[in-house]
Amino acid sequence: MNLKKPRTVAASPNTERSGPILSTVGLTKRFRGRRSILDVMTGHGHSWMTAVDGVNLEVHRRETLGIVGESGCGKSTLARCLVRLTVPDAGIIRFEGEDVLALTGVARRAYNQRVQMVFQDPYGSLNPRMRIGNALAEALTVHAIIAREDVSGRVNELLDLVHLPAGSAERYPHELSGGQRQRVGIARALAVAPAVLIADEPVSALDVSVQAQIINLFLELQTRLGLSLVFITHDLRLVRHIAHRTAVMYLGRIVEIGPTEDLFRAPRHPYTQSLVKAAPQLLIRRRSERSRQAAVQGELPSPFAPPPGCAFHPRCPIAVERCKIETPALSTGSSGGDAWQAACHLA
Amino acid sequence: MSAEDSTLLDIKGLCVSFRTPRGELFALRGVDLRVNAGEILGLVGESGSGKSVTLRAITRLLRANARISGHIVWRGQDLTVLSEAELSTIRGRQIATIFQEPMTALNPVMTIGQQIDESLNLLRRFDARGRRKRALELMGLVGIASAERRLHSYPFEFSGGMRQRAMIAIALASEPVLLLADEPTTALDVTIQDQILKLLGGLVDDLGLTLVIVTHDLGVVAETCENVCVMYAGRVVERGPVAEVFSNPRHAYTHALLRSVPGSGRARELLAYIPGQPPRLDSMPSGCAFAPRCGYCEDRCLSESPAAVAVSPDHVAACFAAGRLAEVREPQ
Repeated sequence: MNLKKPRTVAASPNTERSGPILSTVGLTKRFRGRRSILDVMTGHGHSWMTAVDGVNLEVHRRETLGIVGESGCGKSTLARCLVRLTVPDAGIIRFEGEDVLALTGVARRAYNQRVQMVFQDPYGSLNPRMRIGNALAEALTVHAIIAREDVSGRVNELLDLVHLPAGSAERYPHELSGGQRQRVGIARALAVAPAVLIADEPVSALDVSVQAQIINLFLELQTRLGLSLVFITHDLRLVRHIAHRTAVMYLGRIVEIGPTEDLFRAPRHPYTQSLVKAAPQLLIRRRSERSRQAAVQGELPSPFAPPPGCAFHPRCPIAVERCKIETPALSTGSSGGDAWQAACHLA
Repeated sequence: MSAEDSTLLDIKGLCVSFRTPRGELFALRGVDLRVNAGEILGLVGESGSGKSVTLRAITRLLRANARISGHIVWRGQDLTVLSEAELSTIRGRQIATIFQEPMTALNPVMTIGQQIDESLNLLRRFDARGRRKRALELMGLVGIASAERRLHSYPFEFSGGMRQRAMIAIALASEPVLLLADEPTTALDVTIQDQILKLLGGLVDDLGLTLVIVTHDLGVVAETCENVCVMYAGRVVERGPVAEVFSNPRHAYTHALLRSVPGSGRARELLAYIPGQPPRLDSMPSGCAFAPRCGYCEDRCLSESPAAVAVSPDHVAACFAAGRLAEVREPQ
C-alpha cells in the first residue's frame, strides 16, 4: 500500500521515541448541571459534576489499552478529551512528548490527523446524503494529505483495507448493514493514516456474529499498520479479548489498571471484582447451584453528589471507616510490579 | 389439561406476517415452542430473528398490521381464536410481560404506586387499604427500599434499574402464572443487570412462576435459563437444555454463534465469526435460511428446509449438518 508518510506533530528534537505515544496527567473535565426554576428562585447556583477526575494514563506504541466501566464512569468524556472534541478543565495530554492542549493551527490539525476516533454509531456520524466514497474522500481532502487525482485510488485502497467491496463507494449509508457502516467509520478514521485510534464502544450496536468480524478487523489492522488502540467498552468479554492492558473506571477515576490477564484473573479493587463477577459468562451451572446473591448491591451514586472518600465505599462489601474519609490513590501491590495499580486502601 | 401434564404454553406452527408497502413480510415462519411450568426458558437470537415478535404474539401485543396464524395453546386453550375481550382476561393477569425499556413501558404521568394499584385492581380482591398494603409488599419483594415514599414517585425519578424493578412489581401485582421478559436487562449496566437477573431467578423459585426471557446475550442465557430456544430468521433452529445446547450444539448456527463469543478462544486471536448478515425478511433464501452464511452448507441445504429432529430426548435441532459439527472448545 502506498501510504504517504504523514507529517509529524511539530517535529522537535527531544521527542522520545521510546516513551508512551499518548499520555495524560491529571486530566479533569467538569460539567455544569441544569438549574431548575426552583434553584433560580432560591438563589442556588449551578451544580457541577466531575466526569473525568485526575486521570493519568499512558498509551504505548502498538498496544491496545482497554477502558471499561459502566455508564457515567467518564470513559466517553475521556475519549473525547483525547481527540480534543472536549476541552478538559485541567491536566496535560502529551502526544510523542508534545503538549497537545497547547497546539494551535497547523500543529493542532496535524495532531487530529495522528489521533483519530471511531464512534459507536457510524450511522449517526456519517452524512446520510453523502455517498461512502465521497465521505472517505472528504477526510482525505480536508487534511490535504494526498493529491486530488490520487483520491479515488486511495478510497478504493481504504475500502479494501476494511474488506468492503469496491462498489461500496457508490452507496449511501442507509444501504449498508450496521457492520458495513462500522467498517466505513473505521476506514474514514484510517484515511488520514493515524498512529492512534480511539474507539468508543465501536461494536456495541452490533449483533454478536458481526461484532466478531469487527473485532477481527481491529486486530488485523493493528498488526498491519502498527496502530496504538484505545478501546472503550462496557463489555468485559471484549476488552479481555482485545486489550493488552485494561483500565477500570468508576465515577470519573481509574480505580484499577494493569495487564489484562492479571487484572481479570485476580482483580484487586473490589469494584473490578464485582464487575468481573457480574458479567455473564458462558459457564453452565445447574439452577440449584446458581447464586441468588448479586455481585454488588446498590446503584451508581449521583455524579453530582459523589460520596466522600472512596467513591465505591457505599457499595463496597469490605469498606472500613477510612474508606469513607480518605480517597485512595492508585498504588502498586505486593505482586505484579509497577504496571498493575489499584486505588483501594485494602487491596 | 391433566394434572401431570406440565406444559403451560404450547406454540405450534406460529407464523406472524406484517402487511407493508413492500408486500407481506413474514417475521415468523413456523415457530414451535413449548413452555413447561416452573422453568426458565431463554429465547435467544440476533436482531430480526423473531424472538421479540414470538414473545409479543403470545399476548397479541403486535402492531395493527400484523397477522398471526398457527396455534398458541395456553393451558389447553388456543389464544389465537380468542376475541380481544376474552384475551384480556389472560393478558396482564395470567400472563404478564416486562419490557426492555421501562421508561417507555411505564406511564410517565402516573406514580409508581398508582400503576401498581391499577394492576392490583384487576384481581378485584382487595379494597383500597388492602391494595396499598399489597403494593408495599410488592415493592419490598422486588427490592425497592423506602417503599412508602417511593410509591409516590414518578418513573422519571427512578434510575434505570429501579424502573425495571417497578415494572416487575407491576407485572407481579396481578399474580401471573407466566412472566414474559423482553430483553429485560439490555438497557442496564452489568452490575444492575446482574441484580435484576438474580431477582427474577429468585422470584421464579419463591413464587413458583414460569419465566421466558428474550435476549441476544448467550451469557445471560447460560447464567439464568434451564432451557433455550435458538432462533434464526423467524424459526426456532435448536432447542434443549442450556447445558446440552451450549456444550454440544447441533445446529450450525448455534455452533458458529457460540464460537464467535469473545472468551471462547485465546486472547487476541482472531475470533471465529459468521460471514455476511442475517437475511432480510423480503429476500429469504430458499432452503435453510442460514445456508448462505454456513460453513457446513451442502447442496441440499440450499434447496430443502431442514425439519426439526430430536438429537436426544429433550434436544432438537433443524440442521442437515447436525452430525458433522466439530467439537466446541470449552469456554475459558
